[in-house]
Amino acid sequence: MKGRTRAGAGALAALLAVSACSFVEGAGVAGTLRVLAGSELADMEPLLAESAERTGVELVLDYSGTLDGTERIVAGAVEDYDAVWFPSNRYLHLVDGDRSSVRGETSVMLSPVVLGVSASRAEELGWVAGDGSVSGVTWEDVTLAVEEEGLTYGMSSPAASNSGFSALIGAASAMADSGAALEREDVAGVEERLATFFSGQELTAGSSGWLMEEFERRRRDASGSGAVVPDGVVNYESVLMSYVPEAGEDPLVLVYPEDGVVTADYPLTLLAGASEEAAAAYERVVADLTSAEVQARIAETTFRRPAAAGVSERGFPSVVELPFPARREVVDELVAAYFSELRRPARTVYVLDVSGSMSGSRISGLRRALTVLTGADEGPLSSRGQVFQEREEVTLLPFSDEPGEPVSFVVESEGADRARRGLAEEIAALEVGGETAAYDAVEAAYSLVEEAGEDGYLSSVVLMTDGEVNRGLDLDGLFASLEGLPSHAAAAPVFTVLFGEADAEEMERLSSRTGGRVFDARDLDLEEVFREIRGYH
Amino acid sequence: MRAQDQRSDRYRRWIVLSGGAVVAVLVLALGLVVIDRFGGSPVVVEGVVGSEKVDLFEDERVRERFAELGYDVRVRPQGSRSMAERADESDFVSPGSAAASEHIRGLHGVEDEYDPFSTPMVMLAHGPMAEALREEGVARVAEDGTWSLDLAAYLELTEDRVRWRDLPGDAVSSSNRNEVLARTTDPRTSNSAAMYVVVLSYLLNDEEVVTPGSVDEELTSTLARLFLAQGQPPESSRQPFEQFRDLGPGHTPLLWAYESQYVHAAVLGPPPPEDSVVMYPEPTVFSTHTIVPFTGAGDEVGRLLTEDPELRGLISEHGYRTEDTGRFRELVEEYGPAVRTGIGDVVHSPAYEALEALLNAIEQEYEDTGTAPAAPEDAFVGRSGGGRT
Repeated sequence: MKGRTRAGAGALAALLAVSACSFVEGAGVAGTLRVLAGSELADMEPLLAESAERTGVELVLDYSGTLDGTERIVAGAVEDYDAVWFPSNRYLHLVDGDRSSVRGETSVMLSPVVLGVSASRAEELGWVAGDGSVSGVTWEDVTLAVEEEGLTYGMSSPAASNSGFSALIGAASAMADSGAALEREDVAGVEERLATFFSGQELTAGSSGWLMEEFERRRRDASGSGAVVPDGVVNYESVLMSYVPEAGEDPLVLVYPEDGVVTADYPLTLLAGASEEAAAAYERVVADLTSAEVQARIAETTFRRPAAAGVSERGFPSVVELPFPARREVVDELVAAYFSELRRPARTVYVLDVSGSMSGSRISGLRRALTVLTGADEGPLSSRGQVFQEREEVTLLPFSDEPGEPVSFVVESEGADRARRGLAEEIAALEVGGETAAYDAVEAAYSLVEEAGEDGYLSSVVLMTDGEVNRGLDLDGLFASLEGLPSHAAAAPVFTVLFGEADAEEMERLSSRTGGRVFDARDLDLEEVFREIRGYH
Repeated sequence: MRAQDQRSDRYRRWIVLSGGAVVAVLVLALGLVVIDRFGGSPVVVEGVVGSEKVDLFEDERVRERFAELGYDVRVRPQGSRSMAERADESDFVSPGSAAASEHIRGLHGVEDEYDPFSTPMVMLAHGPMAEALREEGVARVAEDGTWSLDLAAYLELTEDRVRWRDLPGDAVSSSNRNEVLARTTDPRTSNSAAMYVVVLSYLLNDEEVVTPGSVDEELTSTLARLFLAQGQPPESSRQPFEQFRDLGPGHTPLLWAYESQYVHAAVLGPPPPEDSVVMYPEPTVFSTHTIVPFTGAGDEVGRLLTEDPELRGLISEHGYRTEDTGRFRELVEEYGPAVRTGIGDVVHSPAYEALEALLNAIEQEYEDTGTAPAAPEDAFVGRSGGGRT
């Protein structure tokens, strides 16, 4: 950005002059830009507040996942917004090829998706040079470390979060090593290595931010739950750089794959339907955010790279950017393969409240929400990860006075429809009545996970209850019974769904003890919540 | 078939025009200026221009000079390929190539044309890349310190799918596994990428300018790969230049660009990286920025851009070459980019139909594989590049 504000510097100066004029003229008139933004951008709010003081334009950010937001744009469901701001528009431009939904975009900052690894582990793997830096490690080297040294890591879901999506495209492109943009025919050749790479994925998440929180929790609370602590985590460079280890904690070292990365470029994007006032406000904001001063501040406070050279004193290492596929099919098929073949399959136990209080609209809402998950895996990318996947083991465990009989289905590639039909029938047959012995049911769910043994599955439990637990174990009793579980079972998080009169505090305790997360369905559509949770399996 | 000096015919049109007609227009225009000077608001002139020229027309100093001359010139960006059809709805259009200009004039029966400025197409390389290409024998440094790129040899590298790590030299030997492949704009919408097609098609067609009859599948699939292998195309012609300038050799090692983009950045900033070089492809092609007028006011804009010394000076600062070579030379000497003043090895563009046939065939390859066309350049807000010069 150096020199960008130099006096008389052509159009920029002209633009700044115009902006300054409009500002003076518009002083007192508070402009607003309504923005649908990636949840990653929450850390920009302090800088945006400062910017608003200079520009007179307030950015009102609503948050959403990148791929979810992309689909809203393509579906035209963004009338409430003037602009969108996600880590990347790459998938948007593949889907909306003629860019009819977008009026203009400007990259504001950058952050490559890389791997952070515990320093001691990196040392063991021989990745750390004398000066403490890591270089020369390729995606294949990471895969070899998974294969031969049992390296484990966390990565967000490619169907829910841009960092996981970028890592998948990056790993596949690097391993195909064609030197050019990935093509369909390249993918088959690298599936085996990719599957090996993903066999090290010990933790998944629906968002990059939550992934890092859970990674931190597991590192710092290693003894508490007994869950496996991954050696590393795939995330934005900025998120990894922001990680501050506690005293005595093993720091993270950043591994920049030498064969290349996919970088998020955070384009602030004006939507096609924006008004002229919004367009003017947009230009004012963009001019401010891309000014040398703000660019330096962004680097300083968020660890993201400036979108222009020379303004930051942070020594960001140079990286090789992998070409991003030019064809949508390549990307769609790769993401589909991730779920059906490459990743460790999911085992999900749905612990479902069918006590008397669930009668009426509640049970029908639950049936509807679950039925959506049995849908076929076609349609937009984000919904791919949301329906039950090939190889996935889905168990329904209804409870009221006591845990009911669990019914399990494995979604086989040939019999996928059969499993989905069977699930749909079971869901339709859920009957209500009785009290709420939720923690007995959760204990039973953990028994199922324990019995399954260490079979490579990533297991998790979803607890949906609409009232206070009034039968069987109390929460402390449940915690006591979870002591001493083998690590593969202890690693299974409980995702709790707050519904009706559920005890929010207990649900929070249960989720945080097990490495899960609370999803609040009291004010939201249950279907939407169930779909969101799917990003975490 | 290579023209040794393309400039000789660049001014043909307006020289023909410059007779009594121009004098008459001039008198008329001066009259208008006088009227406007004393009478109030300047004459609004609307133009449709290739997006690469928006910065020039929106430069405050250019706007001020036009205002002094009695005009308020307002431009809207549109790709050279798509501006033809409704060109006559504006006062003038300004495409980025002689072929596009010829097509527009043919379509609307316009005889006049101004060629106020042009710029050669160049290959921009980061220092280590330039050095590696030199050691490979693909690039060389001329006596005057400017660089040449043997485009046929470069084409061979791409055909062998050579990677940066395969080239000699320590700087790139192991770290970059990507193919040696220039980044370009989108051939479906952008003039700059069409210029790439012009020179490469000449080389691939046994050093003959392509005619509609010589467009075959082998030729077009070779060309299409050079675009598709780059991956997702950039969203505008400005974006890849800024990425080259700002994001280092790992992001955009080699870029096909207008020479003017580099000179403009060197003169007005932000400057390109110090170790980056401008390579003159041999052969190359000139992007000729013409003005095709549809009204008297449009004609006057073309004339002023061509003749007014002050405007010519500003045009030079934007990195373009005008008849006034002195100003361009001065700027280059002052700001120091190693820019070649006399460029000999230049090819002619194929006729409009032949170039369209090539571009349509490339477009088809994108479509066959489900990649819809990228940004029509007119889909963008004029300055939504957001304060980026």
